[in-house]
Amino acid sequence: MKNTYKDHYRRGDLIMWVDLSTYCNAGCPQCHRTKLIGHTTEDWLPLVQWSLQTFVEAFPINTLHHYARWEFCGTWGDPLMNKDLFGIVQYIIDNSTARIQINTNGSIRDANWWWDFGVMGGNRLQVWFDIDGTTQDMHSLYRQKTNLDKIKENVEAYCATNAEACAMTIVFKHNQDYLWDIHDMIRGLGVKGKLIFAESNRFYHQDYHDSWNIAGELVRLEQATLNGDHPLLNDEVPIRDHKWRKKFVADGNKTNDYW
Amino acid sequence: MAKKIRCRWEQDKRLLVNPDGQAFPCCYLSNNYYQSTVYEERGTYDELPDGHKANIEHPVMAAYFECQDEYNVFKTDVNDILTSQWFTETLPNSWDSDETVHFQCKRMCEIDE
Repeated sequence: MKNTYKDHYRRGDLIMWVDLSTYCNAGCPQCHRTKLIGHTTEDWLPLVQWSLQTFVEAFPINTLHHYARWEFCGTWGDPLMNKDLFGIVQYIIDNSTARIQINTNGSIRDANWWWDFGVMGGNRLQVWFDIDGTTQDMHSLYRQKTNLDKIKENVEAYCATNAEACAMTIVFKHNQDYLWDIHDMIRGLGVKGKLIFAESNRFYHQDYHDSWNIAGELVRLEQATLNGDHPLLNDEVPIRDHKWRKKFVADGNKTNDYW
Repeated sequence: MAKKIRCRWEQDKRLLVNPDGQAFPCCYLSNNYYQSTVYEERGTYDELPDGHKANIEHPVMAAYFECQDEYNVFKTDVNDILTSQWFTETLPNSWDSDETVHFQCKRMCEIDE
């Protein structure tokens, strides 16, 4: 029999994905919040963020047992840009047994903050860092406005705690020949969790994507030519990828969970 | 082989809440909705791409929009949202027919039975 949302809620195994912020420090050209010219925020997008108070009002303590996991990924912004994120995660940690998963570019806040965050979250906290290269140029051709050295410092500090670190690499033509180097660098930072390498699926009409940075310089991203033919692309299919339907049919009723 | 809709996010036990507190079963429905409501509030709805308009004007989403406060976590208890007519009847019943299914559900969550 099919399980519905209310069944999941009553059983306490609902996963809540909450978009806590529309702010972002980066300017990834294929992100739908990014303008192609200047890599700034799309004009229509309001800049908003939840406070700890609004979070508690929406999800009072006496309801937290309905949720098995919280996901702060950010469709319209990076959750680390939320000024109350630490408090929101602490509220969940202190008042429930739920786990928390966060996706971020990692180029926000400093190593001390990340250490404290990992210590507070412990083994119920899982952070996915977006790392697309071994050099600043390789990494930030897509992850515009982020700083790889800062990300590495933050990842290392976080990985020294009991919290879990994972990483996601979007594969383009410019980094497809360096996937093992990226893999080794990420592992060297202390990331022990899953690593996902996924070719960008946001080339809709042609095999390149043009945008222009704030200085007016052309940023051309080219589609990877691996077509899945790489050991690092084989076994981890992102559950939010459009390939899900194929995966779902192949695996019957099984879902492909991160955790 | 017969086709049917199996909601991926519901099977994954995952519910999405937009920055404005609106609860949705997935980002495929929520993203266009969020952008469309911002345009609507600013009086620039006509400037939306046709695809966005078709998304939000589909009867399934029109029914959501009509009672949107009932699906907002800032205004309604999550239990009430999940037991609401839209989540328990309007959306799942729409999957029974090609005439009623939202094209995003068909595009993203149609599987061979």
